[in-house]
Amino acid sequence: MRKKLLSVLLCVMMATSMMGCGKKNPASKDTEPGKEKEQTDNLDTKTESRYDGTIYYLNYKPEVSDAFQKVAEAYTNETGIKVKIETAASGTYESTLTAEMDKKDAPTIFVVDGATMLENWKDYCADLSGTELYSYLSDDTYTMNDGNGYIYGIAYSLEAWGIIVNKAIMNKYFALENKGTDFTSLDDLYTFENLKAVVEDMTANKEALGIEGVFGSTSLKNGDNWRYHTHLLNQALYWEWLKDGIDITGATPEFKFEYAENYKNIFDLYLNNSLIEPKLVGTKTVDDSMAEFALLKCAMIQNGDWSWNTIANTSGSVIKPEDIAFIPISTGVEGEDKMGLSVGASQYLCINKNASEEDQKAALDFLAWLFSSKTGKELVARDLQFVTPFTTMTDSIYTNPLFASENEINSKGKVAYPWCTGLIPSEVWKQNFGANLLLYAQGQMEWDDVVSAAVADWATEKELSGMGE
Amino acid sequence: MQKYYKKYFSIFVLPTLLAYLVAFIIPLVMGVYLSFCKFKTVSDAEFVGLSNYLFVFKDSQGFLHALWFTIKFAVVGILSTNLIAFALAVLLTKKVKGTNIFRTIFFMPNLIGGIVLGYIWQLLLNGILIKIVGADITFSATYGYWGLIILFNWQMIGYLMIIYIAGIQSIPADLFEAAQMDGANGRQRLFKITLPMVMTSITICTFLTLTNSFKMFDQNFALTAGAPAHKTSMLALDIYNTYYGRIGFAGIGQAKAVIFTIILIVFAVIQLRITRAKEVE
Repeated sequence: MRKKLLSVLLCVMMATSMMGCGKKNPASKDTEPGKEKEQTDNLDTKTESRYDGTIYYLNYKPEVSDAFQKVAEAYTNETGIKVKIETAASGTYESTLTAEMDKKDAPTIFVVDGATMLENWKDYCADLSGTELYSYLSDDTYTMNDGNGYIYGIAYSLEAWGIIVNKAIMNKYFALENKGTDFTSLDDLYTFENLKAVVEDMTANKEALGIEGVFGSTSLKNGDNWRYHTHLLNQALYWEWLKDGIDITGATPEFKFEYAENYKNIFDLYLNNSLIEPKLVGTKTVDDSMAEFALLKCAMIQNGDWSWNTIANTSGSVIKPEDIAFIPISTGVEGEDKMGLSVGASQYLCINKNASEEDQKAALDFLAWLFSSKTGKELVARDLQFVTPFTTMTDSIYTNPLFASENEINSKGKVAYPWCTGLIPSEVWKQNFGANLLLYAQGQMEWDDVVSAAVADWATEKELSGMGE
Repeated sequence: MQKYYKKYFSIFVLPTLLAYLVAFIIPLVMGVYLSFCKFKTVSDAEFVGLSNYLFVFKDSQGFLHALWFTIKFAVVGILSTNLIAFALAVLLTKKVKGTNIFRTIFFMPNLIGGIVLGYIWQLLLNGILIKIVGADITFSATYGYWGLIILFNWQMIGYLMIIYIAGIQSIPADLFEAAQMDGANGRQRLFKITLPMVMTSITICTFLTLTNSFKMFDQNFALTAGAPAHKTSMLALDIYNTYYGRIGFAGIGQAKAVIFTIILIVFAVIQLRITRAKEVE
């Protein structure tokens, strides 16, 4: 009897859970229909031909996948056109794209993240030069083009990264009586020398500051190590290629890692002033470190403006938006006090050339709507939180406190580091470099070996990537 | 009746056959073909002959290391899981109180997915390692190796145990009675009756553990992800990394996968030959 009861119970559970799954999809209850309808009139011109297919957008950014569902819903509510927005898991965009492109309903809108990736996907990019979206652009530098007017992709989100600091903790430090430095403001921390002095003094005073460490965990778990093998490397790449006069919009250049010592400077600072032992960084994830920051266990963390969502949505997050600010990553290179954050368009929207004419047009209409209609703009600013290069978006209001900090740094006349990391020859290079950084952090590899392996690997990967073409 | 079967045989087989064709035969043939190609998406592949295979052996650091690591893992994994599972099965077919509860408990880990298991065990093992040696599982390939073995045992034992229990229970009781009357002690009964009689289960279980240890991916991916420096990458993870690591290398990943399949088939055939030979009617 008891067994029967159990099996009946299980059956019911199964059935209900299945029903639960089924119900979710067509939900459109959260949006207010009245409000949307007002705006449909100005859209009519764009969608006069009835399109009954589905716009398929393969999204690059996992952090906004939920927000994108809202976008899709809103567009369907306004126009009746179905939008499917899928998101690739972190670090797997290109592989997901590869798989999706093989399918019969391949994505109509996809994303390319830099020159290296463009090389691979050029044949799939339709020319966007005559499109409405292109006409919104404030500047041609926000495109990927062939130099002759063929636009492969259009940037949609300008991102910045640096060191995110908790101003409340910093002010507490600046106000400490027995602190060992004379600095009193974040503006003093634009050179490595000063940053190091402050960070080390903060570590010495961590009890007084109520933190467990100055920096959050250096997340070097494979797959979560991109903050170091890619983002932190930007400074080293920039200074080297600046010195050698290399055009960073071209193909992957040589790499000698001349500024390896500078990279080591800041990397060591992270490791030695963190809330965990350097030996234990191998299983830490980005979310771990963002949580530490959100829970006030540390005062600084290297990441970009996209991480605000993660910080704010950490369960139990106690950090206040007004306490968050950026300082640039400094590595001890002469002239860095004039530099600001690393800023760039990391990703570009592309339209699949192999999609049918109709699909392409529908996709372009959707993008135009997203960045110019009232609903669309609101969604972009409030939910997606993209800082766009589009003139249509200039009047939007953002809630991300890191954007304000970016503007402040810009207004001080600091020069932004351009995004150089798109030229890293392959994902394999990043993986290997990341793995070696971990070995170095654990004390199992000498720094010189990390450097020479990185340089040798770069040459190999550069050659192999050419071969892969 | 017989006629009936013959008449409708094809109709009933057709759906399964079709599914088998679509889900197995076609991908297999395509996979082998693609290993001779350079391709980005499966639909536009360019034939390049043997160059993918040549590259696999030239690039020995990754693939051969992963192969060696996998073999080491498989040997220890097969032995330990089967021994422990068999011992448990023998214990739980004795008249002990609560056998059903124990059987259920031992079987449960098998119901948890590999990724989840990987993360759970990472937490557990790190907790211990950090206490004892002050480093986590990514510190040394030895830690990773034994971590994987423990995880694999934990996951597989319950499943194998069930197969062994079924085997042991199907042995006719009169065999044991007769042996007991002839004065055979417990040890003799185990080695002279139980073992030969469950040889079919042993064949199945070794085959399962062999293929599972070679194919292991998600546990590996979640527990160590190859750290440190790809030293704990098993074959499947290495193939995955090759396939997706560099664009244009899908063909090489595919070639590795074909080699992997052949190696696995060879091992499996040898294993089946050996254990089958020992089965009794």
